[in-house]
Amino acid sequence: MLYTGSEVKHVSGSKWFISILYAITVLFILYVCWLFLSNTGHTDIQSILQLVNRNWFWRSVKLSLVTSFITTIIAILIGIPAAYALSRFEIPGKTFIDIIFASVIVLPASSIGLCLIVAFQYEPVLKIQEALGFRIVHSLPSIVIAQLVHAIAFGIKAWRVAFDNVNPRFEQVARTLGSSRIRTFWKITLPQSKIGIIAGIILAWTRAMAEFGAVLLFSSTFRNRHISQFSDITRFLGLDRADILPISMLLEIECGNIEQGIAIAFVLLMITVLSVYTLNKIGGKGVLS
Amino acid sequence: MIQIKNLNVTLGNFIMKNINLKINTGEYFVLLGPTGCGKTVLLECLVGIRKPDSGEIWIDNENITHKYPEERHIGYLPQDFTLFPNMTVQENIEFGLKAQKKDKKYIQSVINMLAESLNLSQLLSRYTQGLSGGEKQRVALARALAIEPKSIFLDEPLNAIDENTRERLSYELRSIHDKFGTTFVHVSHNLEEISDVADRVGIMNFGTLEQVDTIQEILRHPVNQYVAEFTRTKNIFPGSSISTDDGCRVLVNNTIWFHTKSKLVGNVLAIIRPEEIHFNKRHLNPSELDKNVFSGKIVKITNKGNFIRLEIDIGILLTVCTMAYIMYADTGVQKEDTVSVYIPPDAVHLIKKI
Repeated sequence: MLYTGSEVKHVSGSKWFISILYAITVLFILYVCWLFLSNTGHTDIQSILQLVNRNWFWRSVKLSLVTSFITTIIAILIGIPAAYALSRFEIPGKTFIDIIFASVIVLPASSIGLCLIVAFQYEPVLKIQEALGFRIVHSLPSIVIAQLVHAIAFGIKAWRVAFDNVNPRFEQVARTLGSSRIRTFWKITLPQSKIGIIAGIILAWTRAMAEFGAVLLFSSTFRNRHISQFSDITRFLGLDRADILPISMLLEIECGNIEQGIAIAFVLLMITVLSVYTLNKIGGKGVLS
Repeated sequence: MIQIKNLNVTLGNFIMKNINLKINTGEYFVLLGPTGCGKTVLLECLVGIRKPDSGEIWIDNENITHKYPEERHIGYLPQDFTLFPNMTVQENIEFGLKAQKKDKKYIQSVINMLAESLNLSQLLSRYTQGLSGGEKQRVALARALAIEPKSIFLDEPLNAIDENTRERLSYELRSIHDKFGTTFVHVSHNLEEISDVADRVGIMNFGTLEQVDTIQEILRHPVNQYVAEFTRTKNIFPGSSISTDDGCRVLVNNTIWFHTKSKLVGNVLAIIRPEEIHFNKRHLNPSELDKNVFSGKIVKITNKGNFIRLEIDIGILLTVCTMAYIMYADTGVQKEDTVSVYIPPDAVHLIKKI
């Protein structure tokens, strides 16, 4: 094949273009690594040892784990059926629902917190709470409600991709063989989408663990509250006077314990890195895109 | 028996209108038509995964129009067979039986019978990913047959398969059909794929069922120009016909008279299958073969691999097919040769020109 001058020029032009793309990518990777390492560099083993010896730290870890676990369970119970319905059925206003979920993902967490306060302080809702004998705002259960908004939006996104990737023909064939819709979901759809489902669970849990702005506004802090303000069960479980890890980090920095704050940031960083690594390992990295 | 009564489906711009069809019990029926003609939509209505706008579907005197797929007691084989990838071959086959809560002993006896009949015994413990096209087809059929369905619906099952394998698999489909005697409804766009297997064929156009008959009858007597063209009849000539004692005479191109046994007078289309035209290098006297003997010149010879196609100018351009190359070679004819052409009167089929 003969090459003309213009083709040669085009090839060399491509090289320049690819080189620029590589350079931008490498610079960005270096920037992210620098961010990670700067945090790690300010954390020494002594700070981490000091942190793990603190009673409040373990209460924070426990509270973060318990609330994120409950949040994830609720997200699974609501999110998986919702994602399946959105993936399979022609629901009226489907585009509107998609826009709502996409908006929640990009909405600032602090805005979500503020929306939650307004919603739960709304007179009729407040009256229902008073009739039932509790108030949601600034209570421990409010942490779960605040974490749930982002967690469920991220979970639904991942689970919907997982269900979209299962060819509906498998379900149709299963049904012609006499299998009910529910049995088909359990035996055909779930096993084939399990990697995406697990990836969504990890994503929802990680998002719940990392939730900060919404919890800060909607739940506030608990560390300085009097022990009498906590229920017996909360005290029995050792969740009293504790804040979730991201809030604890802020409180430590506000109190001038910079090393402790950075140490908590390091712990959160490790949790996130581990989660994303697990996502990649199980083959669910597509859910992050 | 499957009965479709006045079925109508609308999908955007596509309208399937007034489909009426009867498929006999134990028949191998093929719905044939080009891509986008609505054959898969019709099959999906039969299977129960698409709801028709109006009309009824009956199987064995039971109206199943509004029943869910799981209530229809049928088998369904989509393109590429859709074997469940998370299950072994045995688990695939027993899936329907477990859904119907059959006892373990019965399930095992059905699996043993199907594995033996369809030569699957060696594959039962394997997952479906590494199976060949033929093995996948047999597993999918075993899975469908396990629940003893009233009918099995196959949606272009041989579409993504190479030509050599396709011929073997279509033969295998027919032999499995004959062995089990279940009604098969097979959707295809490929005339060659189904010509050996079908008892009857329904030709579909854009949303309509044009003709239902045996493949031989459709090839010889298409009901309209669309069916003739879809079944690759190259010789379609407009003309006007007049009645004779034993049929009609058709004047084509104001020069050629074709004698035919068809009885249709007026403006017509004369349709002649390429494989029914005879030619000979020896000059034939019209009295030798009664009528429809013409002298013509070979203007084009095309080697189509399996067969040779000739184009002969007899005043109009006739497309003629011979069989294998070796048989063509025996005739000794070449391009530009003058030959005698004979068209049997019953090979000239007339349809009304619209």
